[in-house]
Amino acid sequence: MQRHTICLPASLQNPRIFSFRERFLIFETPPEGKTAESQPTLQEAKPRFTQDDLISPDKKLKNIVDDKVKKLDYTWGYHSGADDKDKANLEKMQAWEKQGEKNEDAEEKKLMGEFLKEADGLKTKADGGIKGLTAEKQKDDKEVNAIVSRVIEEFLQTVEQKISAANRDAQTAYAGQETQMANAQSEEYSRETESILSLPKQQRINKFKELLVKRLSLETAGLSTEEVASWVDNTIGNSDWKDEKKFAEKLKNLVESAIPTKDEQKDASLYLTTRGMKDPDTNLCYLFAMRFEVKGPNNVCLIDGKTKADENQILHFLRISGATRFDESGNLKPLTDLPEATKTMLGQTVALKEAALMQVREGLKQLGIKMDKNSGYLENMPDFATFLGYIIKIMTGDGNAMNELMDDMESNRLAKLFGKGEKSGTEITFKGAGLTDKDKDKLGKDESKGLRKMLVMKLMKSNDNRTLIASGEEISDNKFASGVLTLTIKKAGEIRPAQTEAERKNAEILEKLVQKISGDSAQLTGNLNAVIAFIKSPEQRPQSLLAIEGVTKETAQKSLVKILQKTDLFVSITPPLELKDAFTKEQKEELRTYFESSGKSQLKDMKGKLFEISFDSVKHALVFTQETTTVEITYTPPATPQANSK
Amino acid sequence: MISAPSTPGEFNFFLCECGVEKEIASHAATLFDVLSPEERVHIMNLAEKAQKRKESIQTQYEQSVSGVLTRFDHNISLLARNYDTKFRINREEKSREKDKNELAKLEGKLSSTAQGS
Repeated sequence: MQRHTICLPASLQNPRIFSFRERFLIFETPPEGKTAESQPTLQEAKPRFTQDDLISPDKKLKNIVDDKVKKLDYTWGYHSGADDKDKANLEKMQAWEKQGEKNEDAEEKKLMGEFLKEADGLKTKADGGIKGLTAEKQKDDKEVNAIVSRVIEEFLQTVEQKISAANRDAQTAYAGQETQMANAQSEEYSRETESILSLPKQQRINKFKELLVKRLSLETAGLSTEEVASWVDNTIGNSDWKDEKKFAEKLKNLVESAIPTKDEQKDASLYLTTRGMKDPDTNLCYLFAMRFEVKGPNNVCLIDGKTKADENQILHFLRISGATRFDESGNLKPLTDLPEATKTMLGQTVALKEAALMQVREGLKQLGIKMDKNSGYLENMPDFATFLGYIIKIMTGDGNAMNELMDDMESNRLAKLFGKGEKSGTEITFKGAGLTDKDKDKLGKDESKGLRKMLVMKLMKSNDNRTLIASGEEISDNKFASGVLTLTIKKAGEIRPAQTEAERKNAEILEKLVQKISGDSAQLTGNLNAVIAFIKSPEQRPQSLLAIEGVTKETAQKSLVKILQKTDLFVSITPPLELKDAFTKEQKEELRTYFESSGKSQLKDMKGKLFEISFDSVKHALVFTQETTTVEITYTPPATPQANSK
Repeated sequence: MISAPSTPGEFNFFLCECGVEKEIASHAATLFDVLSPEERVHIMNLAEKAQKRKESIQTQYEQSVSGVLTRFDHNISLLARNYDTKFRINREEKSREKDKNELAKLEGKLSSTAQGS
């Protein structure tokens, strides 16, 4: 009896070329020269799958099986890798086929059909098995990738934290160094001052002049010492030096106009130290001489006026009041009895409790301006709004007070107002200050729109701990007051550059609007339910709309459009301004309370900067202060306007 | 031993090749300058370890697939052999039938020849 064997030629080692016929070539007789036993067994001839085959095992298997099934017919075929003996066998087989054994037998057809069906079942089963294995492998791969990614991510975070910590350390070290330098410089200034004050009058004047030239040279970019000296001489005039009072006035004028660049002129801030103000007659000279002690660490007052005239007015208050209180060291005594209400009025800036405020208070007293003991509000103050700003902007240099304030911020004392800050080193960052969580959620959803109103406020101590600084942008000392003022009074807003073309366009529109309103406020009184806040970037680029206050969004929008139309600036706005309800109900109530409680103010003299509005039958006013790029909101009582004593 | 990459791009490429998520690889590349060579190599070692693990998974996978295919080969071979037997039996029966018919024919011829003679 003939024995059937399965011949698996060497070519089948490469699965790319094998087919069913090649793989399962069935011979009626063993190939010549080979016994059945000498044929490779199935196990031995097991194809070795290359990695390539395994890349797409499903596809490969499908091809293999399809190929097998497709070619499975009565013609037992020919394999491409067959050798001569195989070919000889094949010829035998072909001869056998020629003898009439071709596909004509009904029984064989039936058998073949059954075979194909069963072969297909086996293929499906193998197919499913490989699919499962592939899915499992892919899952494992993904898991490994995810795990290693997380591990690397954590490592990177650790590295970043280390870098951040190192930066902080370096910053702290630098700050310490700066403080030391500032202290040393201050001591030098003090010694210099003492020596100047002990000089005979004329020498003292000359020394002042020399000092002035020196300091101006140091701080005046682009001018040589000689140029500055020449300019001082020409400006003051030699004759004027003989009269100390005249000299003082000249010096005052000189300092006022000494700011060399336009930016400095615009943002002029006078830094004063009151230390050494022992001689009332020379106070003024000394004040201005000390203007340059801005780096000194203690008792440095910053007066940041909107204009030079405003700043001079403050100085005037100080000068005529003789409001100087010194301790044994010559430092100003801190205020210890500032009413809580006053602190509240001053925007929780308890750091303001120190000497500068006392000075102002004393100065006000001298002027007959009273401060309500309970409320802390000023009475009979002709330009309260302006002066309130000044008070807030007067900072003292008590490092401990700064620390206290920072701690207060962190320990929730002020969190109600500002939100819980995140403290990191010398910084506290408040996000969404003044807004409720609900508000923040609401705003968050609208972030994609052109006008966002998410306040991000950062408070930090200056390097020498003199001032607390607040801003969402590049920070300098004189930004603090406006930042706090804005935050405290408005308690909502955004400080960030315009980021999209639409925002920039809106900002430009608003800037023009503000300018127009500022110059033409009388025409714009009416039923406006909007509060517009506007801020510029450090590069003096318009930033964005801060807040639109309206009973409803629609009314706010309508009102703004009405204003825009009234200004004849824009008939249509492209892209349209998107307005939001800027304040929550609670915030509106707080604003209203603020307006009503500060109703003693008079704003009519804020020429070109006043814009009255009304909502809920209460009149309000917007003051656009372009110089400081902030907007202050105050209130004018409709029934009993205060007389302007300015 | 992995050598430290010389550029952020190379670093990023290596990590991506090892299957590290693109975002993380990119993050690592941005920190390239602040990472020390040791830190870079550490990260690469982590990635390579993961790669080796995946290679091990791949080997295991290949073995499993190979097992499935072997079983398939074996089963289909048995099936083919089984059906080949059926074919052979069928053909043998047919052959016997044919022989039988031939025999009958021959017997018929023989009978008629005998009768004729």
